[in-house]
Amino acid sequence: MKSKFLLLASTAVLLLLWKLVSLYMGSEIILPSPEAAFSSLVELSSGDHFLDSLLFTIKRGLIGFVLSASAALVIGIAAGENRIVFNLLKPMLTVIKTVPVLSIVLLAIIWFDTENVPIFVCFLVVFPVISANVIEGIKNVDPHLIEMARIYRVGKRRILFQIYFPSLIPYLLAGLSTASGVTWKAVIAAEVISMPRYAIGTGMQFSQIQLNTAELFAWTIVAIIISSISETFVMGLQYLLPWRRKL
Amino acid sequence: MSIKLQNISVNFGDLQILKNIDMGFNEGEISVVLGPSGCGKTTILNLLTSMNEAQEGVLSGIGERKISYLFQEPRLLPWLTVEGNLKFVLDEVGTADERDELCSRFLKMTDLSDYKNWYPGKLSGGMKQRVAIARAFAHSSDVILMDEPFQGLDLKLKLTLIDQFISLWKEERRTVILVTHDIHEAVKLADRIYVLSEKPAGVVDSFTIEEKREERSPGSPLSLKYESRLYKSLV
Repeated sequence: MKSKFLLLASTAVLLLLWKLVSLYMGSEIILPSPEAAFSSLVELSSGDHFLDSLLFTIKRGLIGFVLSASAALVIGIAAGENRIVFNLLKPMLTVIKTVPVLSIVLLAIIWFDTENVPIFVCFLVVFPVISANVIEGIKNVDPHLIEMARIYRVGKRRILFQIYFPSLIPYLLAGLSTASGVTWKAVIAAEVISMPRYAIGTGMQFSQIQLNTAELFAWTIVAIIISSISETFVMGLQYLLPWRRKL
Repeated sequence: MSIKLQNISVNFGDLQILKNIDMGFNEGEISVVLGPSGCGKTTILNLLTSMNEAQEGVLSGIGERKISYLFQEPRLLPWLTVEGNLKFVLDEVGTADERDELCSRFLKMTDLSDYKNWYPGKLSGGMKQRVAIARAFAHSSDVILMDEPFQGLDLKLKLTLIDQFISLWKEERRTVILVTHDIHEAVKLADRIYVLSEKPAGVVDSFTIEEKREERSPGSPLSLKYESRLYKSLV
Protein backbone atom coordinates (compact mmCIF):
# COMPACT_ATOMS: atom_id res chain seq x y z
CA MET A 1 0.00 0.00 0.00
CA LYS A 2 2.78 2.35 1.03
CA SER A 3 4.83 1.54 -2.06
CA LYS A 4 1.80 2.16 -4.32
CA PHE A 5 1.32 5.57 -2.71
CA LEU A 6 5.02 6.40 -3.23
CA LEU A 7 4.77 5.33 -6.87
CA LEU A 8 1.76 7.59 -7.41
CA ALA A 9 3.47 10.45 -5.55
CA SER A 10 6.68 10.17 -7.58
CA THR A 11 4.68 10.03 -10.85
CA ALA A 12 2.75 13.14 -9.79
CA VAL A 13 6.01 14.97 -8.94
CA LEU A 14 7.48 14.00 -12.32
CA LEU A 15 4.40 15.25 -14.19
CA LEU A 16 4.41 18.45 -12.20
CA LEU A 17 8.09 19.07 -12.96
CA TRP A 18 7.44 18.33 -16.64
CA LYS A 19 4.57 20.83 -16.66
CA LEU A 20 6.63 23.53 -14.92
CA VAL A 21 9.60 23.13 -17.27
CA SER A 22 7.32 23.15 -20.33
CA LEU A 23 5.72 26.37 -19.06
CA TYR A 24 9.17 27.88 -18.56
CA MET A 25 10.27 26.84 -22.08
CA GLY A 26 7.06 28.16 -23.57
CA SER A 27 7.45 26.21 -26.80
CA GLU A 28 5.47 23.08 -27.73
CA ILE A 29 8.19 22.14 -30.23
CA ILE A 30 11.00 22.11 -27.68
CA LEU A 31 9.04 20.62 -24.78
CA PRO A 32 5.33 19.97 -25.11
CA SER A 33 3.22 20.02 -21.95
CA PRO A 34 2.06 16.73 -20.43
CA GLU A 35 -1.54 17.36 -21.52
CA ALA A 36 -0.38 18.02 -25.12
CA ALA A 37 1.60 14.75 -25.06
CA PHE A 38 -1.35 12.80 -23.65
CA SER A 39 -3.85 14.30 -26.09
CA SER A 40 -1.43 13.42 -28.87
CA LEU A 41 -1.33 9.87 -27.45
CA VAL A 42 -5.14 9.64 -27.61
CA GLU A 43 -5.11 10.96 -31.16
CA LEU A 44 -2.29 8.61 -32.15
CA SER A 45 -3.96 5.55 -30.68
CA SER A 46 -7.09 6.13 -32.72
CA GLY A 47 -5.03 6.51 -35.91
CA ASP A 48 -4.90 4.03 -38.80
CA HIS A 49 -1.57 2.34 -38.25
CA PHE A 50 -1.12 2.67 -34.50
CA LEU A 51 -2.14 -0.90 -33.69
CA ASP A 52 -0.06 -2.31 -36.57
CA SER A 53 3.00 -0.35 -35.40
CA LEU A 54 2.47 -1.47 -31.82
CA LEU A 55 1.96 -5.14 -32.68
CA PHE A 56 4.86 -5.32 -35.15
CA THR A 57 7.25 -3.77 -32.63
CA ILE A 58 6.06 -6.18 -29.93
CA LYS A 59 6.43 -9.10 -32.37
CA ARG A 60 10.00 -8.12 -33.26
CA GLY A 61 10.87 -7.65 -29.58
CA LEU A 62 9.39 -11.01 -28.60
CA ILE A 63 11.10 -12.91 -31.43
CA GLY A 64 14.49 -11.33 -30.67
CA PHE A 65 14.04 -11.81 -26.93
CA VAL A 66 12.92 -15.44 -27.08
CA LEU A 67 15.60 -16.45 -29.61
CA SER A 68 18.31 -14.67 -27.65
CA ALA A 69 17.16 -15.97 -24.25
CA SER A 70 17.02 -19.55 -25.57
CA ALA A 71 20.51 -19.33 -27.11
CA ALA A 72 21.88 -17.61 -23.99
CA LEU A 73 20.41 -20.33 -21.76
CA VAL A 74 21.97 -23.20 -23.73
CA ILE A 75 25.34 -21.51 -24.31
CA GLY A 76 25.39 -20.07 -20.77
CA ILE A 77 24.92 -23.54 -19.25
CA ALA A 78 27.69 -24.93 -21.46
CA ALA A 79 30.00 -22.03 -20.53
CA GLY A 80 29.19 -22.30 -16.83
CA GLU A 81 29.99 -26.01 -16.85
CA ASN A 82 32.95 -26.04 -19.22
CA ARG A 83 36.03 -23.85 -18.90
CA ILE A 84 36.92 -24.12 -22.61
CA VAL A 85 33.47 -22.96 -23.77
CA PHE A 86 33.65 -20.14 -21.20
CA ASN A 87 37.04 -18.97 -22.49
CA LEU A 88 35.78 -19.11 -26.08
CA LEU A 89 32.66 -17.15 -25.22
CA LYS A 90 34.26 -14.49 -23.02
CA PRO A 91 35.94 -12.40 -25.76
CA MET A 92 32.78 -12.61 -27.89
CA LEU A 93 30.66 -11.31 -25.03
CA THR A 94 33.14 -8.47 -24.41
CA VAL A 95 33.00 -7.46 -28.09
CA ILE A 96 29.19 -7.59 -28.21
CA LYS A 97 28.93 -5.57 -25.00
CA THR A 98 31.38 -2.87 -26.06
CA VAL A 99 30.34 -2.34 -29.70
CA PRO A 100 27.97 0.66 -29.84
CA VAL A 101 24.36 -0.35 -30.57
CA LEU A 102 24.33 2.12 -33.48
CA SER A 103 27.23 0.32 -35.17
CA ILE A 104 25.31 -2.94 -34.88
CA VAL A 105 22.19 -1.31 -36.33
CA LEU A 106 24.05 0.23 -39.26
CA LEU A 107 25.79 -3.05 -40.07
CA ALA A 108 22.53 -4.98 -39.69
CA ILE A 109 20.86 -2.68 -42.24
CA ILE A 110 23.53 -3.75 -44.72
CA TRP A 111 23.14 -7.44 -43.88
CA PHE A 112 19.38 -7.90 -43.37
CA ASP A 113 16.10 -6.54 -44.64
CA THR A 114 14.58 -3.78 -42.53
CA GLU A 115 12.02 -6.09 -40.86
CA ASN A 116 14.75 -8.24 -39.35
CA VAL A 117 17.21 -5.53 -38.29
CA PRO A 118 15.48 -4.88 -34.91
CA ILE A 119 15.28 -8.64 -34.22
CA PHE A 120 19.00 -9.08 -34.87
CA VAL A 121 19.93 -6.05 -32.76
CA CYS A 122 17.68 -7.23 -29.93
CA PHE A 123 19.28 -10.67 -30.10
CA LEU A 124 22.79 -9.25 -29.76
CA VAL A 125 21.94 -6.80 -27.00
CA VAL A 126 20.00 -9.31 -24.88
CA PHE A 127 22.39 -12.25 -25.30
CA PRO A 128 25.26 -11.03 -23.06
CA VAL A 129 22.85 -9.97 -20.29
CA ILE A 130 21.13 -13.36 -20.01
CA SER A 131 24.17 -15.54 -20.70
CA ALA A 132 26.17 -13.71 -17.98
CA ASN A 133 23.39 -14.42 -15.47
CA VAL A 134 23.11 -18.06 -16.54
CA ILE A 135 26.89 -18.54 -16.20
CA GLU A 136 26.74 -16.96 -12.74
CA GLY A 137 23.82 -19.24 -11.83
CA ILE A 138 25.65 -22.37 -12.94
CA LYS A 139 28.73 -21.37 -10.95
CA ASN A 140 26.56 -20.91 -7.87
CA VAL A 141 24.81 -24.29 -7.98
CA ASP A 142 25.23 -25.76 -4.50
CA PRO A 143 28.14 -28.25 -4.81
CA HIS A 144 26.79 -30.11 -1.77
CA LEU A 145 23.61 -31.00 -3.67
CA ILE A 146 25.64 -32.21 -6.65
CA GLU A 147 27.82 -34.29 -4.31
CA MET A 148 24.71 -35.78 -2.68
CA ALA A 149 23.24 -36.65 -6.09
CA ARG A 150 26.48 -38.29 -7.26
CA ILE A 151 26.78 -40.41 -4.09
CA TYR A 152 23.16 -41.54 -4.58
CA ARG A 153 24.07 -42.27 -8.22
CA VAL A 154 21.34 -40.06 -9.60
CA GLY A 155 21.43 -39.92 -13.43
CA LYS A 156 22.90 -36.93 -15.27
CA ARG A 157 19.56 -36.03 -16.82
CA ARG A 158 17.86 -35.88 -13.44
CA ILE A 159 20.75 -33.81 -12.04
CA LEU A 160 20.37 -31.36 -14.94
CA PHE A 161 16.60 -31.02 -14.67
CA GLN A 162 16.20 -31.24 -10.91
CA ILE A 163 19.32 -29.50 -9.60
CA TYR A 164 20.82 -27.28 -12.29
CA PHE A 165 17.63 -25.86 -13.83
CA PRO A 166 15.84 -25.00 -10.57
CA SER A 167 19.08 -23.49 -9.16
CA LEU A 168 19.32 -21.32 -12.27
CA ILE A 169 15.81 -19.90 -12.06
CA PRO A 170 16.53 -16.89 -9.76
CA TYR A 171 19.54 -15.90 -11.89
CA LEU A 172 17.60 -16.46 -15.11
CA LEU A 173 14.69 -14.34 -13.87
CA ALA A 174 17.05 -11.51 -12.88
CA GLY A 175 18.64 -11.72 -16.34
CA LEU A 176 15.27 -11.83 -18.10
CA SER A 177 14.06 -8.85 -16.09
CA THR A 178 17.07 -6.69 -17.03
CA ALA A 179 16.95 -7.97 -20.61
CA SER A 180 13.24 -7.23 -21.00
CA GLY A 181 13.97 -3.53 -20.38
CA VAL A 182 16.94 -3.54 -22.77
CA THR A 183 14.88 -5.33 -25.46
CA TRP A 184 12.52 -2.43 -26.16
CA LYS A 185 15.31 0.15 -26.11
CA ALA A 186 17.27 -1.89 -28.66
CA VAL A 187 14.30 -2.77 -30.87
CA ILE A 188 12.97 0.78 -31.03
CA ALA A 189 16.42 2.30 -31.59
CA ALA A 190 16.94 -0.14 -34.45
CA GLU A 191 13.51 0.70 -35.87
CA VAL A 192 14.25 4.44 -35.78
CA ILE A 193 17.21 3.89 -38.08
CA SER A 194 16.08 0.95 -40.22
CA MET A 195 12.49 2.27 -40.49
CA PRO A 196 10.43 -0.85 -41.16
CA ARG A 197 6.92 -0.15 -42.52
CA TYR A 198 5.05 -0.58 -39.23
CA ALA A 199 7.03 0.22 -36.10
CA ILE A 200 7.04 2.45 -33.04
CA GLY A 201 10.57 3.53 -34.02
CA THR A 202 9.40 4.51 -37.50
CA GLY A 203 6.57 6.52 -35.94
CA MET A 204 9.09 8.29 -33.72
CA GLN A 205 11.29 9.07 -36.69
CA PHE A 206 8.38 10.60 -38.63
CA SER A 207 7.29 12.64 -35.60
CA GLN A 208 10.81 14.00 -35.25
CA ILE A 209 11.12 14.87 -38.95
CA GLN A 210 7.79 16.73 -38.76
CA LEU A 211 8.89 18.45 -35.52
CA ASN A 212 5.81 16.95 -33.87
CA THR A 213 7.41 16.72 -30.43
CA ALA A 214 4.13 15.97 -28.67
CA GLU A 215 3.68 12.89 -30.86
CA LEU A 216 7.30 11.87 -30.21
CA PHE A 217 6.50 12.05 -26.50
CA ALA A 218 3.33 10.02 -27.10
CA TRP A 219 5.32 7.24 -28.80
CA THR A 220 7.81 7.38 -25.92
CA ILE A 221 4.99 6.89 -23.43
CA VAL A 222 3.84 3.86 -25.44
CA ALA A 223 7.39 2.44 -25.29
CA ILE A 224 7.55 3.00 -21.52
CA ILE A 225 4.21 1.21 -21.05
CA ILE A 226 5.35 -1.82 -23.10
CA SER A 227 8.62 -1.97 -21.19
CA SER A 228 6.91 -1.75 -17.78
CA ILE A 229 4.37 -4.43 -18.66
CA SER A 230 7.03 -6.84 -19.86
CA GLU A 231 9.23 -6.24 -16.81
CA THR A 232 6.28 -6.72 -14.43
CA PHE A 233 5.37 -9.92 -16.28
CA VAL A 234 8.90 -11.32 -15.94
CA MET A 235 9.10 -10.35 -12.26
CA GLY A 236 5.72 -12.00 -11.70
CA LEU A 237 7.02 -15.31 -13.04
CA GLN A 238 8.83 -15.99 -9.76
CA TYR A 239 5.49 -16.19 -7.93
CA LEU A 240 4.62 -19.18 -10.08
CA LEU A 241 7.36 -21.17 -8.36
CA PRO A 242 5.59 -23.22 -5.68
CA TRP A 243 8.57 -23.47 -3.30
CA ARG A 244 8.77 -19.67 -3.17
CA ARG A 245 5.13 -19.30 -2.20
CA LYS A 246 4.03 -19.11 1.40
CA LEU A 247 1.89 -22.00 2.63
CA MET B 1 31.04 -59.56 2.47
CA SER B 2 32.21 -57.09 5.08
CA ILE B 3 33.91 -53.82 4.23
CA LYS B 4 37.58 -53.76 5.21
CA LEU B 5 40.24 -51.08 5.49
CA GLN B 6 43.70 -52.62 5.78
CA ASN B 7 46.73 -50.53 6.67
CA ILE B 8 45.17 -47.44 5.06
CA SER B 9 47.13 -44.16 5.03
CA VAL B 10 45.93 -40.90 3.51
CA ASN B 11 47.95 -37.73 2.97
CA PHE B 12 46.79 -34.33 1.73
CA GLY B 13 50.06 -32.97 0.39
CA ASP B 14 52.50 -32.98 3.27
CA LEU B 15 49.78 -33.42 5.85
CA GLN B 16 49.11 -36.97 6.96
CA ILE B 17 45.43 -37.47 7.80
CA LEU B 18 45.09 -41.22 8.37
CA LYS B 19 47.91 -43.51 9.46
CA ASN B 20 47.85 -47.30 9.12
CA ILE B 21 44.13 -47.68 9.71
CA ASP B 22 42.73 -51.20 10.10
CA MET B 23 38.96 -51.51 10.37
CA GLY B 24 36.26 -53.99 9.44
CA PHE B 25 32.56 -53.16 9.06
CA ASN B 26 30.30 -56.21 9.29
CA GLU B 27 27.24 -56.70 7.13
CA GLY B 28 23.95 -55.59 8.68
CA GLU B 29 25.66 -54.00 11.68
CA ILE B 30 26.05 -50.43 12.83
CA SER B 31 29.76 -49.57 13.10
CA VAL B 32 30.79 -46.31 14.69
CA VAL B 33 34.03 -44.45 14.08
CA LEU B 34 34.54 -42.13 17.02
CA GLY B 35 37.18 -39.45 17.17
CA PRO B 36 37.90 -35.85 18.09
CA SER B 37 36.68 -33.09 15.75
CA GLY B 38 38.86 -32.63 12.69
CA CYS B 39 40.79 -35.88 13.17
CA GLY B 40 39.92 -37.23 9.70
CA LYS B 41 36.78 -39.25 10.38
CA THR B 42 35.01 -37.88 7.31
CA THR B 43 38.03 -38.87 5.21
CA ILE B 44 37.18 -42.51 5.99
CA LEU B 45 33.70 -41.99 4.54
CA ASN B 46 35.21 -40.14 1.58
CA LEU B 47 37.41 -43.18 0.88
CA LEU B 48 34.29 -45.36 0.79
CA THR B 49 32.55 -42.99 -1.68
CA SER B 50 35.77 -42.64 -3.74
CA MET B 51 35.95 -38.91 -3.06
CA ASN B 52 39.40 -39.38 -1.54
CA GLU B 53 42.09 -41.91 -2.38
CA ALA B 54 44.42 -43.75 -0.05
CA GLN B 55 48.15 -43.50 -0.71
CA GLU B 56 48.73 -46.80 1.05
CA GLY B 57 46.70 -49.82 2.05
CA VAL B 58 43.82 -51.88 0.72
CA LEU B 59 40.13 -51.05 0.76
CA SER B 60 37.85 -53.99 0.03
CA GLY B 61 34.17 -54.93 0.08
CA ILE B 62 32.76 -51.59 -1.08
CA GLY B 63 33.30 -51.87 -4.86
CA GLU B 64 30.22 -50.93 -6.81
CA ARG B 65 27.82 -51.25 -3.90
CA LYS B 66 25.01 -48.76 -3.62
CA ILE B 67 25.47 -46.17 -0.92
CA SER B 68 23.12 -43.88 0.99
CA TYR B 69 24.68 -40.95 2.78
CA LEU B 70 23.42 -38.93 5.72
CA PHE B 71 25.34 -35.68 5.85
CA GLN B 72 25.77 -33.26 8.75
CA GLU B 73 23.22 -31.04 7.02
CA PRO B 74 20.11 -32.55 5.37
CA ARG B 75 21.03 -31.52 1.78
CA LEU B 76 17.43 -31.50 0.54
CA LEU B 77 16.44 -29.93 -2.75
CA PRO B 78 14.43 -26.83 -1.74
CA TRP B 79 12.31 -26.90 -4.91
CA LEU B 80 11.10 -30.47 -4.39
CA THR B 81 8.49 -31.53 -1.86
CA VAL B 82 9.34 -33.97 0.92
CA GLU B 83 8.07 -36.80 -1.28
CA GLY B 84 9.90 -35.36 -4.29
CA ASN B 85 13.16 -35.42 -2.35
CA LEU B 86 12.71 -39.14 -1.65
CA LYS B 87 11.81 -39.85 -5.28
CA PHE B 88 14.88 -37.94 -6.44
CA VAL B 89 17.15 -40.78 -5.24
CA LEU B 90 14.93 -43.67 -6.32
CA ASP B 91 16.01 -45.83 -9.25
CA GLU B 92 13.82 -45.55 -12.30
CA VAL B 93 12.66 -49.14 -11.97
CA GLY B 94 9.17 -50.42 -11.27
CA THR B 95 5.95 -48.52 -11.84
CA ALA B 96 5.12 -45.03 -10.57
CA ASP B 97 2.66 -46.62 -8.14
CA GLU B 98 5.39 -48.84 -6.71
CA ARG B 99 7.64 -45.84 -6.21
CA ASP B 100 4.78 -43.93 -4.55
CA GLU B 101 4.20 -46.86 -2.25
CA LEU B 102 7.88 -47.10 -1.33
CA CYS B 103 7.97 -43.38 -0.47
CA SER B 104 4.76 -43.62 1.55
CA ARG B 105 6.20 -46.49 3.55
CA PHE B 106 9.32 -44.60 4.61
CA LEU B 107 7.44 -41.35 5.16
CA LYS B 108 5.07 -43.21 7.45
CA MET B 109 7.94 -44.81 9.35
CA THR B 110 9.47 -41.39 9.95
CA ASP B 111 6.10 -39.76 10.83
CA LEU B 112 6.26 -37.54 7.78
CA SER B 113 3.15 -38.72 5.92
CA ASP B 114 1.28 -35.50 6.70
CA TYR B 115 4.12 -33.42 5.34
CA LYS B 116 4.75 -35.22 2.07
CA ASN B 117 3.63 -32.22 -0.01
CA TRP B 118 5.55 -29.67 2.04
CA TYR B 119 8.66 -27.92 0.77
CA PRO B 120 11.82 -28.15 2.92
CA GLY B 121 11.79 -24.38 3.52
CA LYS B 122 8.73 -24.82 5.74
CA LEU B 123 10.19 -27.63 7.86
CA SER B 124 12.17 -27.40 11.11
CA GLY B 125 15.81 -28.57 11.26
CA GLY B 126 14.83 -31.85 12.94
CA MET B 127 12.12 -32.58 10.37
CA LYS B 128 14.51 -31.89 7.51
CA GLN B 129 16.98 -34.39 8.97
CA ARG B 130 14.12 -36.89 9.29
CA VAL B 131 13.43 -36.45 5.57
CA ALA B 132 17.14 -37.11 4.95
CA ILE B 133 16.89 -40.32 7.02
CA ALA B 134 13.78 -41.42 5.09
CA ARG B 135 15.63 -40.66 1.84
CA ALA B 136 18.64 -42.74 2.93
CA PHE B 137 16.42 -45.76 3.55
CA ALA B 138 14.18 -45.21 0.50
CA HIS B 139 17.28 -45.46 -1.71
CA SER B 140 17.89 -49.13 -2.46
CA SER B 141 21.38 -49.11 -0.94
CA ASP B 142 23.35 -51.82 0.87
CA VAL B 143 25.39 -49.39 2.90
CA ILE B 144 24.42 -46.23 4.77
CA LEU B 145 27.22 -43.81 5.59
CA MET B 146 26.51 -41.20 8.25
CA ASP B 147 28.60 -38.12 8.90
CA GLU B 148 27.48 -36.75 12.28
CA PRO B 149 23.87 -36.36 11.11
CA PHE B 150 22.54 -35.67 14.63
CA GLN B 151 24.97 -32.86 15.35
CA GLY B 152 23.44 -29.50 16.21
CA LEU B 153 20.05 -30.90 17.25
CA ASP B 154 18.78 -30.47 20.80
CA LEU B 155 19.10 -33.51 23.07
CA LYS B 156 15.45 -34.55 23.04
CA LEU B 157 15.20 -34.28 19.28
CA LYS B 158 18.49 -36.10 18.85
CA LEU B 159 17.28 -39.05 20.99
CA THR B 160 13.97 -39.19 19.10
CA LEU B 161 15.75 -39.21 15.75
CA ILE B 162 18.20 -41.88 16.92
CA ASP B 163 15.30 -44.08 18.09
CA GLN B 164 13.53 -43.55 14.79
CA PHE B 165 16.72 -44.42 12.93
CA ILE B 166 17.19 -47.59 14.98
CA SER B 167 13.64 -48.79 14.34
CA LEU B 168 14.06 -48.20 10.59
CA TRP B 169 17.41 -49.99 10.64
CA LYS B 170 15.94 -52.98 12.50
CA GLU B 171 13.42 -53.42 9.69
CA GLU B 172 15.94 -52.94 6.91
CA ARG B 173 19.21 -54.23 8.39
CA ARG B 174 21.53 -52.23 6.19
CA THR B 175 25.25 -51.98 6.88
CA VAL B 176 25.73 -48.64 8.64
CA ILE B 177 28.96 -46.74 9.21
CA LEU B 178 28.56 -43.69 11.43
CA VAL B 179 31.31 -41.20 12.18
CA THR B 180 30.84 -39.00 15.20
CA HIS B 181 32.60 -37.27 18.08
CA ASP B 182 29.63 -37.84 20.41
CA ILE B 183 30.26 -40.72 22.82
CA HIS B 184 26.57 -41.00 23.87
CA GLU B 185 25.51 -41.34 20.27
CA ALA B 186 28.23 -43.93 19.68
CA VAL B 187 27.22 -46.09 22.66
CA LYS B 188 23.51 -45.89 21.85
CA LEU B 189 23.92 -46.91 18.20
CA ALA B 190 26.97 -49.10 17.82
CA ASP B 191 27.44 -52.81 17.38
CA ARG B 192 31.14 -52.08 17.01
CA ILE B 193 33.16 -48.96 17.85
CA TYR B 194 36.54 -47.79 16.54
CA VAL B 195 38.20 -44.93 18.39
CA LEU B 196 40.55 -42.68 16.46
CA SER B 197 43.38 -40.54 17.81
CA GLU B 198 44.18 -36.93 16.86
CA LYS B 199 45.69 -36.29 13.40
CA PRO B 200 47.35 -38.30 11.90
CA ALA B 201 44.51 -40.51 13.03
CA GLY B 202 45.15 -44.11 13.98
CA VAL B 203 42.87 -46.61 15.75
CA VAL B 204 43.53 -46.40 19.52
CA ASP B 205 40.72 -48.66 20.71
CA SER B 206 38.02 -50.88 19.26
CA PHE B 207 35.40 -53.11 20.81
CA THR B 208 32.00 -54.69 20.26
CA ILE B 209 28.86 -53.94 22.24
CA GLU B 210 26.74 -57.05 22.54
CA GLU B 211 24.00 -55.74 24.83
CA LYS B 212 20.63 -54.73 23.40
CA ARG B 213 20.15 -51.07 22.47
CA GLU B 214 17.12 -50.80 24.76
CA GLU B 215 19.49 -51.26 27.73
CA ARG B 216 21.72 -48.43 26.57
CA SER B 217 19.54 -45.44 27.45
CA PRO B 218 21.46 -42.30 28.46
CA GLY B 219 22.63 -42.46 32.09
CA SER B 220 22.10 -46.23 32.43
CA PRO B 221 24.94 -48.16 34.17
CA LEU B 222 25.69 -50.00 30.92
CA SER B 223 25.98 -46.80 28.91
CA LEU B 224 28.14 -45.22 31.62
CA LYS B 225 30.51 -48.21 31.53
CA TYR B 226 31.10 -47.91 27.80
CA GLU B 227 31.12 -44.11 27.83
CA SER B 228 33.79 -44.12 30.49
CA ARG B 229 35.95 -46.47 28.41
CA LEU B 230 35.51 -44.21 25.35
CA TYR B 231 36.26 -41.12 27.39
CA LYS B 232 39.56 -42.63 28.54
CA SER B 233 40.48 -43.66 24.99
CA LEU B 234 39.77 -40.19 23.65
CA VAL B 235 41.37 -38.00 26.30
